[in-house]
Amino acid sequence: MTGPEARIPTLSSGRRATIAILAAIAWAASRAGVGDEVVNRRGFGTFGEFWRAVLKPELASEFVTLTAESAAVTLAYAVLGTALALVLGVLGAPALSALLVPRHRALGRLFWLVSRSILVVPRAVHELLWALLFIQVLGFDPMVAVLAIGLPFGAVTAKVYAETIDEADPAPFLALRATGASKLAALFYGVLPDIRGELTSFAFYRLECAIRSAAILGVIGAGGIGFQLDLSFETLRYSEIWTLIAALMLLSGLADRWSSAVRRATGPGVKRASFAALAVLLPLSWRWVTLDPSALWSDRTIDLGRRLGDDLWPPRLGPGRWSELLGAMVDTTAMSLLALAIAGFGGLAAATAVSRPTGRAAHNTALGGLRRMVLRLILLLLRAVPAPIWAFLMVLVLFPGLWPGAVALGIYNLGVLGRLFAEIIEDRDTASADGLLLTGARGVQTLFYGTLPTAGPRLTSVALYRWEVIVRETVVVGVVGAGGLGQLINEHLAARDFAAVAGAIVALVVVSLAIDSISAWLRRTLRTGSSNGRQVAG
Amino acid sequence: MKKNPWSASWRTLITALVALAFFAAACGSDASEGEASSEGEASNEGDEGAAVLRIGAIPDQEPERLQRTYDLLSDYLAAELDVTVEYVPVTDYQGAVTAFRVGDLDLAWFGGLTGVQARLEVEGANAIAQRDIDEAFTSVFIARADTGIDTIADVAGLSVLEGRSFTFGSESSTSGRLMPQSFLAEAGIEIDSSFDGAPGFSGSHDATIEVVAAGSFEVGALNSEVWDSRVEAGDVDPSEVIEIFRTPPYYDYHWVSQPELDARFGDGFQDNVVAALTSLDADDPDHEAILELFGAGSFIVTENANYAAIEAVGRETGLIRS
Repeated sequence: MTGPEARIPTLSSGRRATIAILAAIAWAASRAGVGDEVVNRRGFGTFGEFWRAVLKPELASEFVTLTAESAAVTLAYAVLGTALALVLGVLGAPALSALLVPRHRALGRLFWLVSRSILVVPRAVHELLWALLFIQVLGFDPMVAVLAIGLPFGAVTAKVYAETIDEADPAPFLALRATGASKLAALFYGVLPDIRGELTSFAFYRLECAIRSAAILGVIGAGGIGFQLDLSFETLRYSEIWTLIAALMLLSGLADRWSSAVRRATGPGVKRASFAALAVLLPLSWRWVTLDPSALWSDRTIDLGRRLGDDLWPPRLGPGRWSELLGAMVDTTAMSLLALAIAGFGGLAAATAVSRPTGRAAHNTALGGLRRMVLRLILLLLRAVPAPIWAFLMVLVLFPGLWPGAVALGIYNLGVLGRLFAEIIEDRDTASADGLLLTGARGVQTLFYGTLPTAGPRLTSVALYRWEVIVRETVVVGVVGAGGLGQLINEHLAARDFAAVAGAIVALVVVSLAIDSISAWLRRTLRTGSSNGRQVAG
Repeated sequence: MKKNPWSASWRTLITALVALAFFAAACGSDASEGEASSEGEASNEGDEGAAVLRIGAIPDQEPERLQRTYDLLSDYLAAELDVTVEYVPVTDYQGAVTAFRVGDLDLAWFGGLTGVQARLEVEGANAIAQRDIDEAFTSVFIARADTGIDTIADVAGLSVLEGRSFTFGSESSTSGRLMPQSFLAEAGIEIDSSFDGAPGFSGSHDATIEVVAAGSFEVGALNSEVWDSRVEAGDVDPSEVIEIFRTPPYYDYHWVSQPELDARFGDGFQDNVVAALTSLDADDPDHEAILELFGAGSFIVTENANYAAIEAVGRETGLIRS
């Protein structure tokens, strides 16, 4: 940790970046349209009916059993997908690490560039799209969900693990190498002990994300709680929806808690216990969804895989040509900005209200505690419900276009960011806020002059990393006609035009990479590159 | 207390134990079920005679209604054909085409468009049977009563819908999207520019009635058979939603079978399937419920050539591109 002085950006560059972000958000809002054509007042009746049903969830034992079984399926997909991701990450990380494959020689540099580029694609394509493609080859098989989660998560894990290896102190590694130890042995005994904690934290953060992904995959037919949510939504059975949401909140809340506890744990006890629990969950999950990897190399799979390859390649434009594709790329960017604005500002407000007071402000009252608990539950609700379900709700009260998708993604990510922000604010150095409290400053003033200057850079960093995630997530709201590349992909799928689907996916990868670079540049400009931001938002 | 590292570990331990308990309970109840299903699979692979005929359908109606319909039909077909019949539910139209493409469905009930798409992807697949109503199927346009839109006399009259908000059903629906879009285009209405905002896709015919009744959209288009049966059942409030137009007829829903059915189930099997379907008799009390759920008087024989017109419209609208 460097001192606050080093992290406060110079006014000119920081202010310029802030103005650029605000201008971009204003542009996105005008692109989405403002005024009468946004809100559909006639839809409020149905919308209200949904919220009123929260008081009467479906509690018939048959449905509760179904909910529990579906929750187990979702958990099983998440556990299996995370396990695959960890295997891929552990295998891939050494190859990507500068420590093991030095880049000062041409061959090493080439290898690094090639393997890094190969890993870009699985990360840039959302789990949902992987699932849609795998379904064309494997049919509705549990392997689809496991692969769809495991491949992109594996690529992220490999990248983060490689960076963690490279950021560790290389001295023990080099010393061991000098004694003649092999690279892998030197990695194992020289580097691993030092970074084991970080690797574990990230592994369990992936599990937390995997639960949310597994729920989204359910919505397109992979089974589990997302699937049941989709069915209940289609028939407008709001009472059932709330039972399912409660189960998702329980699952997601437990996973979040688990991941936080591992991240904050100081001793090895928690981490050991967590891995033991994971080791038990793995075979149970395997059995629960009757996973059969032999489907991967059956004749049918090889045949259908070849056919899908022919259908996808070469990518081409849809009937709307370039203007349609470029328009959708711009729409996707605008939608991601609006969602980021809603999630970022909303998340900050929510995090300030829910974070436990620390330092001198820690005069805990029962009422304050209750208020924080209710707010935490609301944040959990926002992130536990899959974004497509929020989008279904939003199209009731917002006209089709960019807004329903942006708002759906915004409130879903508000739930994610609110929690991460609260953690950052609670963990921050409280000295400056305490100083302000002593001078008699009020809560809001403390936020602006005490909390934000110290926690601000990390909050911005996490929010910018989240932007990269949101861009990829725009595809999951495309199914409700939310505009952008997601909707375009959906239309091409409805026309069974896989080459055009591939074209739109390439466009999405281009947009994702462009936004990754902008986000990285902004983080550099704001001087907020913190490895913690990468860890929780990757 | 807060700084004590043990509090975090305790939380984790409790979390892990709850998760384990949950799983143990879930798996306990699953044990018998799991064994049963693996036995089922084994017999499917091992013995040709006991092969399973997997049937499915596009989910154009409420899942429970589909389940009821296809449970009854599965029992009937199992008895008639002497094979095990399994209904495989699918959540969206494209999911049904995909399941047929990969061979997870032997026999599928498609709409006009999805049926053509499925046959284009599975060489040698055949349209084999349809309902009596499918050779002259129609769509209805419905509107919220308070919009003041009058009954429309002919296709050209659809031009009055310019400037209204509008919803289709599923993107891949023939009666809820393809044909309405085609008739709208005939009347000079372009779906990308003529409406108030972009058109919605409600997802199913029932959902279209719901969103128009709720007022989310002023006008919608759906399957006339679903509309008629909901009106007849009293599920539609005429003070909220009214029918404003019925389209000219076209060929719609039909059964499509995989090419190698005879090879897998024995010679003449496909003909037997057609015979079983067409001998459903509305006067037979055992068959009555099935036909009623299908909204049909009977099933009749059909052939691929009947869908050439649908394929042409599909190509015009860009929904068939291969």
